[in-house]
Amino acid sequence: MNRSQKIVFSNTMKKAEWKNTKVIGGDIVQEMKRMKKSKGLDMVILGSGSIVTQFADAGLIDEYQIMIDPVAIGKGTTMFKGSKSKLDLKLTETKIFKSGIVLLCYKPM
Amino acid sequence: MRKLIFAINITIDGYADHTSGIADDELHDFYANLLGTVDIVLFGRKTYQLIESYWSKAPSDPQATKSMIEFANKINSLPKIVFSRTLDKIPLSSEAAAMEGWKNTKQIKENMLEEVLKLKEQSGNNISVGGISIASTFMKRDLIDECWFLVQPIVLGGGRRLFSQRDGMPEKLNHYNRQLELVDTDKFKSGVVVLHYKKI
Repeated sequence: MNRSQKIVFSNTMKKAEWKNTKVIGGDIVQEMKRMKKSKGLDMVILGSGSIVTQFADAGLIDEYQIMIDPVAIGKGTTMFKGSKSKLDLKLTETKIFKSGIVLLCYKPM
Repeated sequence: MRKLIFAINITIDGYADHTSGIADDELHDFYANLLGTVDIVLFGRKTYQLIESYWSKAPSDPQATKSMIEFANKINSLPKIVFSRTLDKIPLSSEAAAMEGWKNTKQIKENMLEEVLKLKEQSGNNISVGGISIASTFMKRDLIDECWFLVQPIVLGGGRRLFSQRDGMPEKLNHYNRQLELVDTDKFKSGVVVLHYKKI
């Protein structure tokens, strides 16, 4: 994590202290379209519900990996909260961990 | 003691929306097989009316597939209980009334949890529960022994959630955290993933 290049999407944060971190604000969808066209390895979002919803709505996410914990909590933050449209996905892979966590991998249709 | 079981379709983002999923033969076969382990089905009022309105007449629907008809025959023939305080009489859809509907249904108005405990103590096969609100109530009271979530390959972004605090709870449970044991998983051709859990 410390060595990787990181981007924080924020309109309020001016500077990130963590090394190898850039702050990007404004039109993050346009910025992501530019970043996807540039050369390099894949990019990953770990968590970050609000930007996931925005990028998913804009059709910019190519793969989803979702881990389901074997626990019911009855409240909390939901994934894809406020997503504007229904998203149909194709199941590509599943994996079961000893802990009972199930990993579900999808691609957009 | 009989087991209380619960199975429901759910989107990836956790919404229980019966209109948005992929309901193919594999899915109907799954539910028909599950009902094969059951000898009574419990419903909340809304789910009861929703299921009765179509499935009671599905056997005569020319569009219904063989799997759908098998599921319909299964659910139609099983004894049912509907928990409802608001209805004096269970209204049947006109089609169901014409064919005398779900005659094998009993309405219970009071003491739902005691009734379920009584049923669990009787001998017999599994008891199935249908309905988000009553299943949430039973879940929070630790009455559900096994559950199946059929995760549809869909993100909805909004809708009715399972096991939410507003559902059927007489008081707030602020620290609800129920660990479950993953029993097994299955995959359908449609991309639906079946997650089968049991109470620890």
